[in-house]
Amino acid sequence: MSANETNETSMPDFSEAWRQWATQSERQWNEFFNQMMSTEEFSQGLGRNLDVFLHFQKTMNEAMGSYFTAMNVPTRTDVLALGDRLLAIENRLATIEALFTAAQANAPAPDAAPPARPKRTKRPSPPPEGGPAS
Amino acid sequence: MTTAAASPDAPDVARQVQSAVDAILRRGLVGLEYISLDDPQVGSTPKDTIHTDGSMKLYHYRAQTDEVYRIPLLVVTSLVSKPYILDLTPGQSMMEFLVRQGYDVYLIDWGVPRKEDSGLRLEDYALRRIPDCVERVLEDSGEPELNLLGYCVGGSLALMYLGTHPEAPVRNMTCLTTPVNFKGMGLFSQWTDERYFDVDRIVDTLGNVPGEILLSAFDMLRPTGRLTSPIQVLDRIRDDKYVKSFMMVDRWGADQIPFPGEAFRQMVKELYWKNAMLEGTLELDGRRVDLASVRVPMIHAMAEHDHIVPYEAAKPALGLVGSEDAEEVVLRGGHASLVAGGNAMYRLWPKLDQWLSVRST
Repeated sequence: MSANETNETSMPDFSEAWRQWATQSERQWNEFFNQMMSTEEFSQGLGRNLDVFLHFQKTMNEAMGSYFTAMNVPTRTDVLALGDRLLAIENRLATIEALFTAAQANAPAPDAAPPARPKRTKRPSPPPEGGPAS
Repeated sequence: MTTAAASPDAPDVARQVQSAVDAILRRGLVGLEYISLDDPQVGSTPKDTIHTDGSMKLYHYRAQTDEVYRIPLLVVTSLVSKPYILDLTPGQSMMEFLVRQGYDVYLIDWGVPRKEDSGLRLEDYALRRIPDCVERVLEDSGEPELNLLGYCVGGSLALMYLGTHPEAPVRNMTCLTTPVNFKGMGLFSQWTDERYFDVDRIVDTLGNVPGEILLSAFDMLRPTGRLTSPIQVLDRIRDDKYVKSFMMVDRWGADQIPFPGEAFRQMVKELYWKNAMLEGTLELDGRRVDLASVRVPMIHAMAEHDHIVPYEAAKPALGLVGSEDAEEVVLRGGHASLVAGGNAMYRLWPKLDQWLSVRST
């Protein structure tokens, strides 16, 4: 009777059971897919798909490039390249500006010492009693 | 009677359920804050840029202690992803930890490759940019030597540098999940099968390999990940720390950058097809990468559940180098959680500190 009572009044841990099931299922599905994807056929199919994608990409790029050139309009590549160059110039300017500002603000007196840095004298702490923790 | 036995406890059960629901809702809202973070603060440990080269930047983290270890530490990040995984967010940042432990830390951020970076080869990284950064660090710190730390492909690049520069002013080497055996890269090695994977066509057509393609490849390694990850988060929505940590790492994983085209072509042909790093046949600009000539003390930390750089891909590194003082560490976690997960501060970081501190004076 008491055993029955214990069984019936204690809450079964559904969340733990569900967690275990989910973990197990994930592992099994991953194993299944990984096995499938490790076959030669899959690699071959992947390569073929990639080829199709690249062919499509190349054809599109060329066709659009020719079209835009004929229309005397810059292509996306031209615009991106221009954007990249602008970004590079902006970064350079920002660096120069930062250096210039820092140099102006912190211009040391002729005899001033360089800014203090921490001493390079730190030693490792002694291991705790009973040796280092691993 | 079972009903009679159960009924006195029924209000308790109801209260417990109500309390659990309340807690989930109350704390869930906190968790939801992290889920809904549009622009989380990343890479915020204070630092200065001391050198740039194209899209690459060399950072120097500002000291946060009165004294620092004598030997500076130069971190070489991966080419595959953004470097802020090492400086994710305050309290969950390996860089912040190292700076607070008293290390003088520098980090190479390769930047997001632009179109003009598609011609960058492994030589540009291992024979030009890393040596340049090493020089800058020595100059900035005033020290004659430094320690190197490489994460993922960053570790491979650092090893290529060491293997071609026997005279390098490097005192110690730390590798984190660094692949050297590319035949051990699991599905990646299958998918780049020489017979079916036309790497020349990819690079010639696209220049840099788009981040979307790389992201799809990473997703395919764990096909159910996109479905089960949100379920895991909901399951642990009461654990704010877990939710925050998970969401930050997940965001980083989705923030994929392109891979420089020529370097990709070289990696596929030399590392995946010929496994040249493991075989000892890798040549950069006519110089053989001789890992046996690397004799500096080295530690290699790997993750037990790393599905991106599996143990088989990383393990041979210590056997290839000529270091007598070499240590392998395998810790619980995955590729990203090893360095930035909620438990990194209890597992990897203290271990690194323990190993590096006595070698940094």
